[in-house]
Amino acid sequence: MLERFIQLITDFPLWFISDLFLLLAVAAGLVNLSFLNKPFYWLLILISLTLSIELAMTIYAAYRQNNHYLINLTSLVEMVCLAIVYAKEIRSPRSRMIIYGLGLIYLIAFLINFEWTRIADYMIGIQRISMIIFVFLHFQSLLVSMRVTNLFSHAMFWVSAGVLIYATGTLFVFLFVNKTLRDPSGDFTWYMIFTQSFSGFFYFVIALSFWLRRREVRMVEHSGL
Amino acid sequence: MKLYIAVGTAVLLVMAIFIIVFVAYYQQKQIRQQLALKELQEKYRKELMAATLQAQEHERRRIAQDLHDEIGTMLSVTKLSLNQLGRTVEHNDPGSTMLVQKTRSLLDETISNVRRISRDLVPTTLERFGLVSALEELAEKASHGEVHVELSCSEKIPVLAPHLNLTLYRIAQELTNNAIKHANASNIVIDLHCRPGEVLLSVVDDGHGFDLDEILKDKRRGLGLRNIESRLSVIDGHVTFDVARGRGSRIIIQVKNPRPEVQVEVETV
Ligand SMILES: Nc1ncnc2c1ncn2[C@@H]1O[C@H](COP(=O)(O)OP(=O)(O)OP(=O)(O)O)[C@@H](O)[C@H]1O
Ligand SMILES: [Mg+2]
Repeated sequence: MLERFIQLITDFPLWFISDLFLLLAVAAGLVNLSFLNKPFYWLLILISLTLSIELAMTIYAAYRQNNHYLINLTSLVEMVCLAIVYAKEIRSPRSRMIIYGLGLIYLIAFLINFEWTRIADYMIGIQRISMIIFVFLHFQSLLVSMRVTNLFSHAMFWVSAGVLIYATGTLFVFLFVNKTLRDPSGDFTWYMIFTQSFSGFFYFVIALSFWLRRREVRMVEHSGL
Repeated sequence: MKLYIAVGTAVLLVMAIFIIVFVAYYQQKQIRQQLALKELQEKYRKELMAATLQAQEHERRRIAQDLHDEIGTMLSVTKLSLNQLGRTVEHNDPGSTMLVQKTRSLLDETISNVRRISRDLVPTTLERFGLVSALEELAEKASHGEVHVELSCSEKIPVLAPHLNLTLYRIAQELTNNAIKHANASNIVIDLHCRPGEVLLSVVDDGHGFDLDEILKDKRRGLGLRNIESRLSVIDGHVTFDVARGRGSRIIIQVKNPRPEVQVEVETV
């Protein structure tokens, strides 16, 4: 059993690093739990669910069983949680309508394209595009409302930046999934490592953002507001 | 395919980073502009306030001058002719002498009232002899019957700019008036002293006090305390109310004195 895991780690070291960041992010979220507002709370839920799915995936992999449906599930978790995060963060009703609309389109794609043994077609691509739109909506709200005075210490800005990099970085791989991850003659491992590095980066940014969130709340407390 | 994906992703990433940087830059720029605008508005508000206060002082001065020069002169002339009338009447109609005398004393009282009012309107003492003398005079004038007003003042008071002097004087006037009018106090102390770079003025009474929150909520309240705040906002001063119902009040005014500490003490020759 243990050898199998060690084998996995030596075979896919990058994968393991991204899982380490995931663990770090969950820990950071739990440590700063009392500083989290609703959107960050949902971010923590997203990260925790991803961690459990990732654990299941590792176990499947250790026993050399097909775990691709778990990748589809991760996408579902990310989409639902991020939709809630942004719906809670952006107060404008129009943006919320767009977020819910995208969520609905995604759910339909999920129901149509979900497969147990393969990474779903289109669905994850739609998810990445939706994520990019969420981030744009958030950026727009930041620019319109002007409520944040110091953007660089605003944790949610960094979350959005992380989401944007993560989504754009993995967009093409999943948009052309038939020619990349689903292509039997393609280099599955290469593409997986490619996307996994972006996941790792995303988890790392989220871990950082939990600390930033703590600092932000502290700063507001200090300024006596 | 790998190459296409890698290049395409790289292009997307560059765009994403560009967007992030743009949002950050643009937002910060907007915020800076907003802050600058706010500062400008604040500055404008202050200037307006200062101008209003100055206009008020001008108007007072004008009224005081008119009172003194026109009404005062007319009254003096009236008194002269009354005296003449008195002399004529004394010979012909001794019965009216009493009436003339009564009128004369009424006229005297009116003349001294006009002089007092015109002097009160413009703080002449302040302009001629400085804040300490003006406050001394204020304390002396306000002491009346049961009420005892006293000035306590550290001997080293630096020379203050004229507008600071005027502000402090007007505030002291209002606070003393309040203590006399509302507090039912018998002892009032006006305290003036300096710390490095700062002047502190406080008015302490031993009256029955008041509840500040209640007064501030009252929409029909007087203008006195509000005026103090707007006067202070012009010179970046600060007021602290150490007040409560059932005990005497202490109201402290803090004003920055940017001038170097020039002592007012007369040099011994
Ligand atoms: N020293 C004090 N002791 C007790 N009550 C006070 C004192 N100073 C102020 N107050 C209360 O605060 C209220 C507001 O005072 P403020 O000077 O603003 O208005 P005012 O004196 O009533 O009217 P105005 O000053 O415009 O002639 C007063 O009506 C009084 O009830
Ligand atoms: Mg008053």
